[in-house]
Amino acid sequence: MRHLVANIATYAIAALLILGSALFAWMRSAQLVLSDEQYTLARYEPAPAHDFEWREVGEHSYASNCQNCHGRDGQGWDQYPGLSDTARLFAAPGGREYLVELHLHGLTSPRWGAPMPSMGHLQDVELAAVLNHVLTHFGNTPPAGTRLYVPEDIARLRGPKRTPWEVNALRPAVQARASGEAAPRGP
Amino acid sequence: MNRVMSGFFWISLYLLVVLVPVFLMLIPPAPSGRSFWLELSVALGFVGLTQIAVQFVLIARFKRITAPYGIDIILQYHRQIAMVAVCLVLAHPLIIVIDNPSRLKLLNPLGGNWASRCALLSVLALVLLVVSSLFRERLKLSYERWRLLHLLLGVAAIVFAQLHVSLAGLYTNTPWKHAIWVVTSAAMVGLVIYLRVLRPAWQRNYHWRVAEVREERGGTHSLVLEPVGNHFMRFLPGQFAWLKLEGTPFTLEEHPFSFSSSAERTDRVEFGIKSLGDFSGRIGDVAHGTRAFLDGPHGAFSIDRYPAVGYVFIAGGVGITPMLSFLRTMADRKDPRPVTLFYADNDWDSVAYREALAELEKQLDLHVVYVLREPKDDWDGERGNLTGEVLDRHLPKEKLARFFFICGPPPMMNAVHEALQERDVPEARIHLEKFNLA
Repeated sequence: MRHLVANIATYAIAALLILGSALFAWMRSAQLVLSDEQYTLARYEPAPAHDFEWREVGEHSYASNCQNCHGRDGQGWDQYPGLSDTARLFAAPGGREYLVELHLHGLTSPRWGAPMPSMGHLQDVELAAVLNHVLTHFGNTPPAGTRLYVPEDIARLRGPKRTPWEVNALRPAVQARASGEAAPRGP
Repeated sequence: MNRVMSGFFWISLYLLVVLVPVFLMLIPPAPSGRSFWLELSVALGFVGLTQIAVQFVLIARFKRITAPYGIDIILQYHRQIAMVAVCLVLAHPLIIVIDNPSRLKLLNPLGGNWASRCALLSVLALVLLVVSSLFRERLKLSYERWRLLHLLLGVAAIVFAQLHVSLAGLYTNTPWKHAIWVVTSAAMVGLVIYLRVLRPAWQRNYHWRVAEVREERGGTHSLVLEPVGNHFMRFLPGQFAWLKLEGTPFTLEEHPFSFSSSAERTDRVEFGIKSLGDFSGRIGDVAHGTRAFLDGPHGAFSIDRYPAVGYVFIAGGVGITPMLSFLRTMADRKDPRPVTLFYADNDWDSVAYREALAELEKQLDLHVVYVLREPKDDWDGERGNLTGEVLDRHLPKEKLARFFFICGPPPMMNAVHEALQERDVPEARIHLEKFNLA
């Protein structure tokens, strides 16, 4: 009798554990949608290009989407690159598009252990804002006279899905700075 | 609190305890959520880790936890839920890689980072744990070696898993969240130290000495222990204890044996031990006065837990020892309840304790039915295996009101269990002692 009851209890516990995991996953993936989309859309859309106010949403979005891997000050850690070279990439030919593409489709390269996940779920407004935030922080200075991103820049590049490897092929050739991102710390 | 309520209470508490630390990670500041599958993979990893941690509590033999179920159930659960835990843990990297195949390079020990390397080591330890446990006999691992290996691999699995959590660090992003996991893992390693160092040290003050080793029939020995100093063993008839003989209490050579003496005698306990393996084969040579250490009593296989108007005991071979404890206890208590004992063995000369049983038949309302597999030609009792037909010939008419206690080799127990089910004996009246605790 005891053994029978114990078997039933084990199956029940195993099932409830998996159910609990699924519930956790569902709540976590809900945290994603609720925090970003509603917040962004309610406050910043529609926004005409000439008065695109990105500073506040860019900072907020960096904190919730990027900071975990790239660090509070964009310094990176372990398998995650620092962001201090972003403006140089932006200035290189094709760099402007490359930065958007890698956010829309993710990026995999031999340079870093961890892949960049796709951020295509972010709204155009939020993606443009967070790119601008990075381009103006962490030691980055966008070249004088260039226009920063506006939401339309993102919308234009949303097209057929690319693989993270195809995105890597789009990377402009930039001379690596001595302390720059091309020196991963891992073996 | 009755036993059913107590069981439900512990299962609910169990789920609460293992799931709460996972759900606490939802509390802000939480990192931004990711896709469902990625988060599910993380959740499975964390839940798997909690189940690994639980194993350490299960094997610590806390009587408060094991008493409602019996420690054989707890060890059965240990084996089952450990497999579940390993599956959950393996699903974690599997889903991560399927979600984004470029993460495959994290599985290369040279290509990943320290977080992924610790994860690999933890999984390696878990896989070795499973393999060495499932195939211990085929790998020709001795019980003691396996136990040491099991212990070390278990500690390695949880330590590296915790390092993986700490180094990956995404979810333990505040000190208090991190502390929950670190403290729990450290506590589990502490439990191992308690079980293998502190408790044996305490056991040293309560040791026993061998008063007598009596040879019984069929390669069985009665090992009689008396306490050294002012302590005793209060147990229920049918329970068992882990026995360490000779040497120090810190040895890993420890074996469970059923008490075969009366529960009314707490200052002189007896075990029936059949020469089967390495340890039990040497029992006959144990000298008087040898030091012994007991961890017990454990087990839920007892007539005192399940009172009934009468009993049917069914024993195969050395499975007679708990039955002997039942009968000797009943004799000491002058218990008038009727008992039928089925006792299966090889031949009449190897039937251990048959003289003692003859004595007990005079003192109790006891009827013993011997079933011999290879009897001599002049044997006029039951022959062959203990089948349903044998039960039919000897079971009293009012068998449904009696409780059945079965202990013997697994094939025999399964056959008898099935025969009783075919005869409509309610499951709640059938009690088995599955004596495979290794």
